[in-house]
Amino acid sequence: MSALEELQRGFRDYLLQGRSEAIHPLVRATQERRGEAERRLVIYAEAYRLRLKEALATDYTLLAAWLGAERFDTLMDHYIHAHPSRHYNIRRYGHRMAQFLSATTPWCGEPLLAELARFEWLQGLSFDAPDAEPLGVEAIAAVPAAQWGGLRLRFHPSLQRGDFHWNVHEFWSALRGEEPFPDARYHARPTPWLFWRQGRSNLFVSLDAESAQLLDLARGGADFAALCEVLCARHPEAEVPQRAAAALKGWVEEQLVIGAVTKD
Amino acid sequence: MESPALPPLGYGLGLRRQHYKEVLATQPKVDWFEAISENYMDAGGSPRHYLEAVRERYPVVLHGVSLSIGSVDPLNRHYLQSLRRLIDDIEPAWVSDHLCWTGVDHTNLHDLLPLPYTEESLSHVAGRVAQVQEFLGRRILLENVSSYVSYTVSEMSEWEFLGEVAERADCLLLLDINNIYVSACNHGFEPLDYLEGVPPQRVQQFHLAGHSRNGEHIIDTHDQPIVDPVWQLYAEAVRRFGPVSAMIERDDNIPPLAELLAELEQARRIGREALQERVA
Repeated sequence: MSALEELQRGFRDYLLQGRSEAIHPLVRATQERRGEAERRLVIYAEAYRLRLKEALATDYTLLAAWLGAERFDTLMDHYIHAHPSRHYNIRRYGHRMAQFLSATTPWCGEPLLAELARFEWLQGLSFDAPDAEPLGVEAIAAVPAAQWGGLRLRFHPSLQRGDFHWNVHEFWSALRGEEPFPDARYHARPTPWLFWRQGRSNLFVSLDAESAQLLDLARGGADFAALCEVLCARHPEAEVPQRAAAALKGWVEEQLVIGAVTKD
Repeated sequence: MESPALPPLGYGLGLRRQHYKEVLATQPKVDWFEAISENYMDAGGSPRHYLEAVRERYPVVLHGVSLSIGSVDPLNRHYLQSLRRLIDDIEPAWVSDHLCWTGVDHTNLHDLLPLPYTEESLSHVAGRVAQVQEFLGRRILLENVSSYVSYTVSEMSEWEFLGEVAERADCLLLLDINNIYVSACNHGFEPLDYLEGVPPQRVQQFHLAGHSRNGEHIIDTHDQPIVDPVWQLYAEAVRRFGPVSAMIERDDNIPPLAELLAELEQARRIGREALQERVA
């Protein structure tokens, strides 16, 4: 290991784990001032945690408000210890929070928490996504009828989907409206939510189960014929093409679609 | 190289989201804006809209915090590709980042950590700057960071290191006047020695900022107004380096735009007076 590698890994070990044995001897300090190297290093250790906590607090306002300052701070300490940052953009740092809450004691005992985190994180992902030009209705209308079966869509990068068992959207509304939080209510059947951007407006809406299934399939690359097959299981065959076309038209009108390709 | 290749832009401000709407509505007397690259890389929607709208009205330069030019990790290709796309879209007057390392072994520490000033670091950094410049198809500016530690293994001063990197890699320099002041206080060197040790023909931009005092050390918080000793050092820098593009970089505790504009006026006045003294 080169001297530069040794120094950087030693500094990293100190910031992440508080292990100063490698970096301490490399820090210049005047002999007459005891503890000077520690005092200098600790400025970096505090800044490291503070910066990550600022990022988490920005991304998880709902979780922070629900938990209260002290519990949220404890959560952040544990998250930071468990998850060093792997991405150059600090905006991505909190991406494992919902998973962390689901899998880690004591927070996993309160499953609402992971959903509160996920609801806000998906909004953030949608907000930060790149721009793309939505497809106009006329572009879909121009597809010849014979080619509709093989029609596949590309969706806007801001589109995010999540299913929620808890009434998290009511918590979100309460936070935004500065009202008291509602009672937490669990529904065995989750509610699908859709998050996306129309131009500069950030939107989210709940979906019925069938709409969500169609959208998820289409996002996964299913063509129009495959969507019709799913509908056939639930609706009279004569209604199916119309229902599938209505779903597709709705996506286009909501500016969710940015491209359409046919097999030919 | 006899002079900076890029023409000076005058007096600028850091572009902050708190000021987006006011900047567009009032088009204040600011010669240029500096945008934080990472805030707009791979991002669309509102932030991108405002950056593009500001760019239509003002020159913009891009300032990064995550290049990690000094890290022993390989250069992050994904980062560089994303930066290049942003450069293609925004067409900045120039692009800068910091002479530091921000992580190792693919862990990001999200801080501008100081390098040891050794021959090993020098050749490592100079080689990487050359790679970045080749990839981006342009020269970059490197900024001096403020620091709280220096290393026993350092073989030269920070300014010698900075100047030598610029010479070997043929890059330009962004001198943060506040960072020089902060590091001078923390490490006990003379800020004027720093200014005198930097090759003048490499200096393309100045940052001006404030800081906080924390016991025996000064912390570079960039969240306060600029203090008198930093203004004095700025005047010295103008006397030495001439009419270099200068901007106020406030990263936190963002005040109303009017307050920053007043501070920018002060920078103009001090810069003008120092230039007159220089000519005289």
